[in-house]
Amino acid sequence: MTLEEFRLEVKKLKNSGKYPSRKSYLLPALWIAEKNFPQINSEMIKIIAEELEIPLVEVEEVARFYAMFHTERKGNFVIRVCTNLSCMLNGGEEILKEFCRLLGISPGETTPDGMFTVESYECMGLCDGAPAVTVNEERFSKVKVEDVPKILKKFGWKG
Amino acid sequence: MESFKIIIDGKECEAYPGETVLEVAERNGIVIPVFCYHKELRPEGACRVCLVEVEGAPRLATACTLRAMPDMVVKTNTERVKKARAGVIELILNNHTLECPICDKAGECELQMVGFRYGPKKSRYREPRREKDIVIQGPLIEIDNDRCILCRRCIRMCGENMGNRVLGIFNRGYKAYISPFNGDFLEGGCEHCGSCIDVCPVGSLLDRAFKYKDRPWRMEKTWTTCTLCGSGCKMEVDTYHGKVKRVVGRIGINNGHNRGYLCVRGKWGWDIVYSDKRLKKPLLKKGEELKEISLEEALRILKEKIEGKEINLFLESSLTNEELSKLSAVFGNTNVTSDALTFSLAVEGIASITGERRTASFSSTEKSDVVFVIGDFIEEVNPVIATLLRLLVIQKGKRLIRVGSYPSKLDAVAFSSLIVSPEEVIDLLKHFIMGTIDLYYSSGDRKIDSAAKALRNKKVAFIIGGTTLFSPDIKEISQTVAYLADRMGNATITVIPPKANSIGVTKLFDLKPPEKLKGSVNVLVNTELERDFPGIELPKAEFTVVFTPFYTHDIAKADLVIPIETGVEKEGKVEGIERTLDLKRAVVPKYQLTEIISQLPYREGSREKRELKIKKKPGESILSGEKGEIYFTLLVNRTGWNSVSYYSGNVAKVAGRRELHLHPEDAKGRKIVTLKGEHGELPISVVENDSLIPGTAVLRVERVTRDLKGLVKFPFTSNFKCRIAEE
Ligand code: SF4
Ligand code: SF4
Ligand code: SF4
Ligand code: FES
Ligand code: FES
Repeated sequence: MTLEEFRLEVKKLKNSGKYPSRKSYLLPALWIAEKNFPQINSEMIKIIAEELEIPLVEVEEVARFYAMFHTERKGNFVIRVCTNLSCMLNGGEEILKEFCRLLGISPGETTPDGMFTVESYECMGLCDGAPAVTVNEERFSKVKVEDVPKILKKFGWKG
Repeated sequence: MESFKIIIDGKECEAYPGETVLEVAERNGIVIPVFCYHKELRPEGACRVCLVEVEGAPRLATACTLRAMPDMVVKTNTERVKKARAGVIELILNNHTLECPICDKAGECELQMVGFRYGPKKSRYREPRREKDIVIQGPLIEIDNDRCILCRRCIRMCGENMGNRVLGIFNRGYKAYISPFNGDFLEGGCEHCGSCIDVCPVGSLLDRAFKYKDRPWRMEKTWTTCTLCGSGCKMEVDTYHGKVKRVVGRIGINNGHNRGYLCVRGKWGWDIVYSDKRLKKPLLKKGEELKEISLEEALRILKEKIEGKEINLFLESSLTNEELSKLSAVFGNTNVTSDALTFSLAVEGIASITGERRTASFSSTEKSDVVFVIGDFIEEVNPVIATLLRLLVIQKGKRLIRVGSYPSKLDAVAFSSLIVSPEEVIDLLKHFIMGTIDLYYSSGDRKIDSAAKALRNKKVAFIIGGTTLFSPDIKEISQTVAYLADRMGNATITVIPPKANSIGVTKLFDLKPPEKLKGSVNVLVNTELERDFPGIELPKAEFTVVFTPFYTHDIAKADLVIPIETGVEKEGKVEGIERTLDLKRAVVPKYQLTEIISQLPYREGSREKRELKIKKKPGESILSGEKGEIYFTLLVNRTGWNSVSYYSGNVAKVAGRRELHLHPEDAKGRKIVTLKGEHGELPISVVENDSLIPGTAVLRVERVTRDLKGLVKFPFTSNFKCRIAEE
């Protein structure tokens, strides 16, 4: 997506009449940026601020507040490993370690080829399938350490 | 309002509905420590240090947000409160850097003071101290986030009180820190009012011009008046060994009408004192050259040259009353021109209805229900007045109505903003007049009718100011406003003086347009011709004397140049918008205008009483536009007003641009246009601005320079017409 296309999308969203106030369009607008770009940068923030007539800093505040928005460059696939209570008790931390070991990075980092980002995550509401992992929008439940390479390969891991 | 009693620490205190426990305690001399609370800000309840015990309530409550209720019994000093308070402070201190020895705030830091008085003796914390290591440097402001206690005072100040919303909190919880958008103050739209620095309780928000320059406890503090515009803000100038180190407003403590608010000129423009363009010695023209001479010699020559001669006096209007009265005694007070000319026209316009050359003080707004502003760009010319007007709405709940021809920052808080073409302003005001005559009158415009309705049976404070003062219609506008105020009965009118002593100049001198001066010696005082009298040629004269603190372009035209002092070097008085204001000398100057003038012979004054014609009818616009013509307003940026950014290195860092704002319909996609005036033309870059109304344009400049000469002519620099050359 180019920045021009992004602006058009935000305009479209704004004119959709879905929400009662301008500010309500802010999160959906940031989602468009999150899904279509490797990171939400200041150019996109400016476009959103202009189109929705919200102060620049307020848009950046929201973008940086939510952990699911990336204001730093992310990989093509964002692997979120839950380490919150249920998942932790069921071995979530080992799963996280295994992802990191195989990819050679620490939580929060991205592989040098720009393919994967691994994040240690809070509860994603998938406790019934603890330990839980998501890759972009795909979910994996009751993950075992030996499942980790399989999951990675599914997304083009060559290791 | 019915008051009631509450008991704080056994003392019976009077409280009013809506007041918080903290406010009642403060008024009764009971001290409750605070961090996030600030008198000028909306209470937030973020820091929890103001905890108090309320009888009958199970938990401690924050005094800054707790409303006082009848018969409430509050204790601020029980063991329980002390322990909780110390706990809060302990948590803050655990993650605060130990930088007091090098921190600029040390000595006036609220964390030091509160921590010392109410804090714990030691800490139980074993975790490593949080280090964010995020320092944000702007041109004049720095944020050292390791010192920040996240009280959000700066955010409330900037976003709510100033209406700028430059600062915000990025990330959250443990990692939260303060920053402008993209870490960049200029990109984030900062106006450099300095208010955020002023209210920061710790050394997180810093004045970069002061960083590591001195310590608060050893500087000498001089309360004086800023003379860089007609707002006349009270400010504290801090000096050490006779050298200015910084200026602070002290919001909430300052008892001036500006309550401590300053603008970029007042806060950072102090370094004009040390400008490298300061004049060091008197100069005398010898042949083609200017030679340095002594003051004695300069005075001797001056005496000789002015003896028996009629003087053309050119006055800039930030001089003090003392200076003005001496100047008038030595050079006369009838053959005079000044940049206060349009201000005096406004006063004349009002006087033609009221019979008095006097306007109400600014505090009349406090006693009114509705504030009715007729003016554009007050936020640029008198930034602090615009802030005070904004605060009247958001703090005092006044209604603000604004009439003008250009968009304004004030519109964001206005009950109604009526923006019409310059030639329609007077007609618009007449609808309001009709509304006072006939209750059933309708202008045919819903917006005007609803604004008119909001005035009915209300106390109204009219304010005239900004660039509107420089419109050719100013006298007529003022007369119309005065007529309206007169009809309404319950109304006052205040004219915002553009310069610090516009009022004083108008009172002491009979001002004329420069073409009408008929003397043979020109005397220029504190002025820059291009800035104060754009488009005017200096009258032919035998001799020209320039009194100025700086090397100005006028020096080339002078036969004799005498240095004088700047604002913070003066002792004296100016007539301010609220009252007569005191100037106290913070720095001792080498040359003093009053002293120099005192050595010249006085002349017999012959000032006749000025006639006043009472008209009792509204004014008529003298503007008339033909189709396709555009009205221009020459707007000197906030930073450039009074040439501040030209002489101040600090302010130059944040100076604005020169650009032409045009409505897209008028811009027609052009990036650069050439303006054609009667005597010249100017190529300039265009900014499309759809908040303008078509047919109006704003020519923003940082400095009025010679190339504008063919376009504008003193005294009317607003709503003049010129053509845009068709390429
Ligand atoms: S200086 Fe004024 S405008 Fe700039 S961030 Fe601080 S409060 Fe806001
Ligand atoms: S920078 Fe200062 S005013 Fe702003 S939140 Fe931090 S401590 Fe409070
Ligand atoms: S508003 Fe005027 S008087 Fe006040 S600080 Fe700014 S320049 Fe000085
Ligand atoms: S704790 Fe892992 S998904 Fe809820
Ligand atoms: S001062 Fe009351 S909570 Fe901060």
